[in-house]
Amino acid sequence: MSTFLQKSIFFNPPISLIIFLSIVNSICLRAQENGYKWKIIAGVLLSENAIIDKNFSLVPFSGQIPGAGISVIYSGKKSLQELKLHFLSGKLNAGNTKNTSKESYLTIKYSYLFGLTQHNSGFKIFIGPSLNAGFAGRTFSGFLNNNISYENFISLSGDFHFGYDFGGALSGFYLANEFSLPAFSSVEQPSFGSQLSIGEVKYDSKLRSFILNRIFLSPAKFLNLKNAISLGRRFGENNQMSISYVMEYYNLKTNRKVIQSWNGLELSYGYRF
Amino acid sequence: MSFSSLKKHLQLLFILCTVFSVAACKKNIGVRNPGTQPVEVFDELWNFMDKHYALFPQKQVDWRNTYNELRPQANNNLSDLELARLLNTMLLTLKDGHVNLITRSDTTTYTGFYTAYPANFNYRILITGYLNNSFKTAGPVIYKVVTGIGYMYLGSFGETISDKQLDDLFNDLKETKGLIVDVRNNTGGQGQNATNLFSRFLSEKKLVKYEVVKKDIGHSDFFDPIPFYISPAAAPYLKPVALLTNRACFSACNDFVLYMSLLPNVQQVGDQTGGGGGNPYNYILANGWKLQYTGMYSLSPDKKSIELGIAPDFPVEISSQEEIEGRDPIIDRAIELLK
Repeated sequence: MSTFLQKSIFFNPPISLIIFLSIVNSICLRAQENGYKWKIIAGVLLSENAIIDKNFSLVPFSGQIPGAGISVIYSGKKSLQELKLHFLSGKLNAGNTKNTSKESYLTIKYSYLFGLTQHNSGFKIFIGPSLNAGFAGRTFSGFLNNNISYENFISLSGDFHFGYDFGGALSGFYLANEFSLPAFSSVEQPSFGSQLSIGEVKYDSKLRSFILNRIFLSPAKFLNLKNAISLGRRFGENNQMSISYVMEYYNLKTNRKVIQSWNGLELSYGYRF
Repeated sequence: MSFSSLKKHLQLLFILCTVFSVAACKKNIGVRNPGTQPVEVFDELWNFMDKHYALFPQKQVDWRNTYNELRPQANNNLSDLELARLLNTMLLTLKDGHVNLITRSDTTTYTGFYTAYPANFNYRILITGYLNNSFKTAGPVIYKVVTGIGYMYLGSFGETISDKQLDDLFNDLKETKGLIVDVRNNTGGQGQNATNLFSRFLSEKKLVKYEVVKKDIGHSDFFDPIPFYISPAAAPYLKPVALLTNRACFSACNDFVLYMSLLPNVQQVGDQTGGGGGNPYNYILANGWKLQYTGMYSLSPDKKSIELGIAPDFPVEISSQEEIEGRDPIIDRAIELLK
């Protein structure tokens, strides 16, 4: 994990884990109270990443890095709630230069979706809002004095999920697609001319920066697209395996411009009860 | 719209999303390599400096005019060598020793801050004439005690001096009645090394400078200056100190001299320092060449610029004749002050 991620107050790993487990716990309790089925999915992925941080270069830092994801889903008769965490970390290279970047990317997303189709229908459609929090941190090698960059963001997004259960000879197989587009985002980055956060510059406090120095952006200024298409197979009542093609792209048009994309394959196992 | 119609539309959307995902199954979606033609690299460098270089208000350079004068010389038939020369011509207008261009084979930087002035330092005379070829070392520091006066020479802040080395050094110097600290020809290095050494001369926490950070892309868009404090190390050296400087004392050395000049027991002897009151940052151009530029700068505690150097309390120069005779009047004057 990068030095920067370790320093970050919001994504302090123990605090993040406590928050995540608390939310999972509350979801599970609620799911059990209502008698709904719920599902836990864990997966590993290998992604092709590329990032341009224009404060450092227009040359993309790119390469393959591994990651992992875990999600908890509970579904009612007409709704679906999901809490999903994705984490990627690895080293990227800048073209044919010797410069590298240690990249860390963490997202936590909570979705509340409404079903538009019959509960027992083979074709399922869910639409609804999601809250997506993310942190991307980069530590560059071979750069003097100023070698750290990051952005953390919180987005209110629209989510569109589709699923199709095959029948006949392909019974047990399913195809699913999840698409997410932000409507409104809040972003915090270091100050334009240094690796210090604006809060450290103005108030000598990273926490104040996180809270007070967020900028609010429309999709035109922070375009963040996510899509995952999955092919899966259910085994018996409780188990499922799936392979997904996952992609994400974001283009942050602040005075510290950043473009990042990653796409990769995720292999997941799910257990539902 | 009926529900069945909506369902059909959504099914179509589902198919489109699938196609979108499959079509996106290639490397680096939406992230493209920049153009590397000479004209594109010229414009990239000029634009980047225009937004990020921190010393435009101090340098009084008309950067737009520089572009207008040199841009007609840029064309896509330039060889790498010709392009490097053109870019260096543009960068040298800034007269900043922290600005340089590192190509695959060469590094070009501005050296006028010391090459345009007398050297005022001769290492051979120092070692043979004053230290008699005999001295002790503590990391990058060479030092000696002669008739109760300590002498230490530090030629660079690029190499780290460990706490243990500093402990040993100042333990050996603690019985002296005064100390000569010679930082001539020290062209800088890591600011932390300057801070660590200075903390050995400090009796209480002190405001030593302000750092000025760019707030946005305009030439004068800065945050308010950020105070920078240094805390003392254990058992500081508080006896009289003569600090020897010349024009080749640059960057971290210039900062060190600024810090030392704030102490009442320190007197600066020799020539003005070379300046370089900024912090160098890096940027990689589209063709892979590396640009070093001043990304932020420092001010003294009374918020004055130190970019052009710090003047000595006792200006002393070494004449050609004195150099031929093997004398260093800057050291001689320091010894007089400490006697």
